[in-house]
Order: sequence, then C-alpha cells, then structure tokens
Amino acid sequence: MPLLVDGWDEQAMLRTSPLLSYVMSIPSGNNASGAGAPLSDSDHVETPDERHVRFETDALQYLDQLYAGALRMTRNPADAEDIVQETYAKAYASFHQFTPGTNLKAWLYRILTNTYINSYRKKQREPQLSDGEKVEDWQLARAESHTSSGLKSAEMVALENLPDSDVKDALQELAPDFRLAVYLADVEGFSYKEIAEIMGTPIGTVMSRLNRGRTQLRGLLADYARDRGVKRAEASKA
Amino acid sequence: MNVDRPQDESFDDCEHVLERVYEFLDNEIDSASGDAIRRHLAMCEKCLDQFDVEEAVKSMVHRCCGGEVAPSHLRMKIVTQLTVLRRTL
Repeated sequence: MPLLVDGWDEQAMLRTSPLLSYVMSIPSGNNASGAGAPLSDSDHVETPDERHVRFETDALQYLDQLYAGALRMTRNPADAEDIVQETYAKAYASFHQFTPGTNLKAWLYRILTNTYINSYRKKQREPQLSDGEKVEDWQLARAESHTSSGLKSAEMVALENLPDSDVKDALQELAPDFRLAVYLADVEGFSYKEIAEIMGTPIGTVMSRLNRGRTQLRGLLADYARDRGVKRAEASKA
Repeated sequence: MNVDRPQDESFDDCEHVLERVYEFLDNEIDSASGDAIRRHLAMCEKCLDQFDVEEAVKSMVHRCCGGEVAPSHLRMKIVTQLTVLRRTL
C-alpha cells in the first residue's frame, strides 16, 4: 500500500550532511514502523545501547525486503548480500541522522540504492556502460513496436498465463533505472515522491522511468507470451 | 446516471486519458481527475482494454518479483557486524 506522504521536511534535509541525510524525512501522521522511537524533545537522551537496540528492532525487520530489492538491482545473490550488508553498516553509522517517525524503509532503500550505484560504478569502469545503453535502445525499439499495435484482450489472457519466472526474467531485462523504478512502485508500493527521494531524482524523472520501464516490460511479456504460443502450436503439430 | 451530461472536458480524448493512466493506476492522481478517468473508462472500451493490461502487468510484477527471503547466514553476518560496530563507533 502506498504510504501517504505530505511532503519533505526540507529543513531537515538542509540541516543534515550530504550523502545519507539527503535522505528521507518523510513526515507521517501515524508512525508506520510502530516501535517506540524516542522524541528528540524529551528529557531523556538516548544512550548508544538504546539506539543499538532500536536499530536492531526497527531496521532489521526490513532485511528480507531489502535483500529482494538488492537482488533486483544486482541480479545475483552474492552481490545482493554484499550491498545489503554494506547498507546496514552505513545505516547503523548514520542512524542518529534518521528522523524518528519518518519512513525508515524508504530511508534504508535510499542507502541501498546509493550503495548499489557506487558498487556498480566501480565495476563498470570499462566501456560496458555504453553497451548497456545500446541494449536499452534496442529494447526500447522493440517495446515501441509493440505499443503501436497494442495488446488485445486475448493477449492479456496469454499474459496472465505466463509463469511467474517469465515476469521476473522480463523485469530483469530492463535497464537498471527503469527496473528499480518499476520495482519500487509495483512491488514495494512506494509513492512517486518516495521513489524520487530514494533514487535521488525529480518526480518527473520517476514518472518517465516508470513509463518507459512499463512499456518495455509489456513488450517483453508480449514477446514471451507469443514465443510460448508458438512453441505450444509447434508441439501440438508434432 | 446522467449519460447525457458532458464529460469532464480535459478527459474527453483517449490520448489524454492514456497519458495519465499510470498516475491513475498508481493512485497518484487527484480525485476529480480520477473520477473523470473512471467515467471515460466506463464508456471507452479501447481505453479500458489498455487500462486492464496495465493493471494486469502491475499486479503480475507485484506478485512475481519480490518476496525473496534473506539467507540466514546474511542475517547472522549483519547482526555480528552491528555488534562489532557498536564497540567501535
């Protein structure tokens, strides 16, 4: 379910330091993450031990979700584990910058995304990046050739009969930015505003990534459905 | 039902409806526009087909593309790491 978000706490964004605190200060009417976050204006100053327990209680509950998200980003379990572990280390070190009562999952996702981008850049020093762009253009061209014809309702039936693995494979074929935007919106149910914060882009960019990502995805799924139909037809002939 | 009454002007044409179909699908649209789009979809089969496909793909992605469980050794590694960090930070 999309969380209702009123807007960013700009003051908090300005107050805090670049990388992690650029982070989400999403004011939420009711504290979605529940667990007793101390209020900054109370007399009691949180001890490091208390903060440690709070981190373990509040942040570790998102481990599975972050791991699944990391798998979508890296496309392999070993790299996913690495970036999730690094994410928790970074989050722990800057947990004092996190504003209690705001969206912790989105905050963690933002750190995860930064961590992924940094590790991705390290690995892509060679001309591989431009290869990636070529793939993207090619995929886009392919997807667009489908859009003009549009999917008929019969094709939708075919779509819905695709195995789960095809849907996962199709998502994995998308360029990283498109894949992540679609994942954050459709699997995690983040709002556009939250996705913009997580990915560090304007909302307009989020919308265009979702547009292009979903268009490509539909094209790929239509391809898969057609291929399966052709195979079924061949099998029945044989 | 007042079928005779003109639709909300801005959502009369299909192109405009389809332009905003993702915002509608993602619950990112104001309620007046949402109502206008709903009215359009109720009367326009072509747009409704398109919307159905988009909605189906969104829910397929939701169903198929998440839900992995972190391996237990990763959880242990992280808990251990936090304990170490607690001493050093």
